[in-house]
Amino acid sequence: MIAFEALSKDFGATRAVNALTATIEPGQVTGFLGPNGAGKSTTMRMILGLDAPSSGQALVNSVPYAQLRYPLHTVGAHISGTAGHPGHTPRTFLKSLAQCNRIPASRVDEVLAEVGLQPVAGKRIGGFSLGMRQRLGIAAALLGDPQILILDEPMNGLDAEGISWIRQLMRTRAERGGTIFVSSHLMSEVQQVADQLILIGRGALITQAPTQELIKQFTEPVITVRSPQAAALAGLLLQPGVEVNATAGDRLEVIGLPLEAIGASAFAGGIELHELSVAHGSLENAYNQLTHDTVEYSTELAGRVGSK
Amino acid sequence: MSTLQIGESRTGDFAGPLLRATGAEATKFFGLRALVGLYASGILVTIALGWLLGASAKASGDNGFDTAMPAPLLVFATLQFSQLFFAAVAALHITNEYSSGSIYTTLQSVPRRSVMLGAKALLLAGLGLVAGVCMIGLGTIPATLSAGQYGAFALSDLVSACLGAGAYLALLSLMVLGLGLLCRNSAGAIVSAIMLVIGLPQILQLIPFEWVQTLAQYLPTNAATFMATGASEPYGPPAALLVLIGWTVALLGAGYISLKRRDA
Repeated sequence: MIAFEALSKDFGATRAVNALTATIEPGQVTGFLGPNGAGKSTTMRMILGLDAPSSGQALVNSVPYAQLRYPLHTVGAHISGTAGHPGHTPRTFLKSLAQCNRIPASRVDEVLAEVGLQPVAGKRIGGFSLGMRQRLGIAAALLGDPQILILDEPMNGLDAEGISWIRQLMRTRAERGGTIFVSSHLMSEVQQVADQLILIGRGALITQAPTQELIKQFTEPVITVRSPQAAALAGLLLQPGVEVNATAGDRLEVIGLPLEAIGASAFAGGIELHELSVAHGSLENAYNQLTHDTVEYSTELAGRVGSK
Repeated sequence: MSTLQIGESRTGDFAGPLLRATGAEATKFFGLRALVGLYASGILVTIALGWLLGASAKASGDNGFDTAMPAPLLVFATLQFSQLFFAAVAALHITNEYSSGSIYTTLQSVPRRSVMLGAKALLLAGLGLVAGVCMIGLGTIPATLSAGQYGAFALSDLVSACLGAGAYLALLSLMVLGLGLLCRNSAGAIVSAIMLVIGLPQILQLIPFEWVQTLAQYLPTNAATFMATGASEPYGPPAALLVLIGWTVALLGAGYISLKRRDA
């Protein structure tokens, strides 16, 4: 279990993490989502005792990380882009970690096999691709067979096979009772795998909820109607609480009315329909809706997409 | 929900984690060809320069100059240059971790800053001690051969040069480790180390006040010379050792405070 208690972090005048309070329970995958610069990595570094909180605290199994004597048995973490020194081989890197945490040396080859790096175990890390480095970082996180896994953007640089592998790994560990905390700035990466989502923007908690609940709560179905008399139909449908957008000459997008009501109105008004279909919002949309006010670095386009 | 798992302890002992972490530091050091190469080069360069200095002493002595010096001290004198190899090793051992980001993994596996620094300090001091003893022990042979009668020495010369070089390189490595923690980047750490052992003594020489000259005698390189040569003026080996320890405590202590206070 990981707990944040009014966790805050200031970098000079900038508040990177703002009074974050949340609990990450075992037995599930918890996605940690937010736009770039939202404070995800800073929060993860504070869990690991790498950065000191300005106020509040982050606890693992009810103690600060720095109080763990051989922490790799309890918490395995991979902070993006930090797996070993380029001059080291994966074996040297993992061996040094095993040594200082009282982990049997045999685990080194086990985790190398698990992440698929055994063929390059003796090659220097400097020549590795981003995907290989991610696998090595994950190998380091798995070394002590910890109950808690903290993964910072683990899918960056992974190919499709790698992404489905890491999802499977997180699922399996969660089902075995593990606490999995995985950050991403892309909803689509964690939507399929996370049971629970923590959304942050500008360092503050936006919401914490089960993934399915968030989808339901924040995504309304959008109904697409095509009709040669689109303008007339729009006139019939417009009422308080209903949004009608003309997206093309004969196409309307309607939010706030059920499919059946639109069909009935068209029938009653004698309007010919060529299409009447419903699209359930994706979590991606929900995420964009939730975070668009808090995006730290925004472009005109991203702003428009976000508010759509 | 269990709150206590394997390897989890509120305070725990210090020695066990420290020794294990020192082992891990050794694995990391010997796993980097560049650093091991630098270290070995430092020893070889000292030995080669010792031979050269011996030959020079003999040539000058044959021409009537009084250049006789115990061979172990001839080798020790070359440390003036070759110490830079060991300073670079110590600087890179820590700054490499900052430049590659592997400091994160290091601190994740050894979260207590005191244990992490203790492990690096033990490794670097050990390497410095071994290098100092080896380079004098081995270097005395070619230096004796090249210097001939001008390099004659007593066993006590050999012992004090060995211990002096070992202690100096051990303490120098710790001073530079402190500089590395303060700078966190290789160029800064190495340049400040060069300033400390070469730049500062030369700069102070240019300042014609007597008190500056007195002060200069307490710089690490000068203290090292007084320690290894068994000088009695201006201060003897025990005081010289204390001076070196003082520098080490100051620089490594500043490095430790920086490590403890700043985010990784």
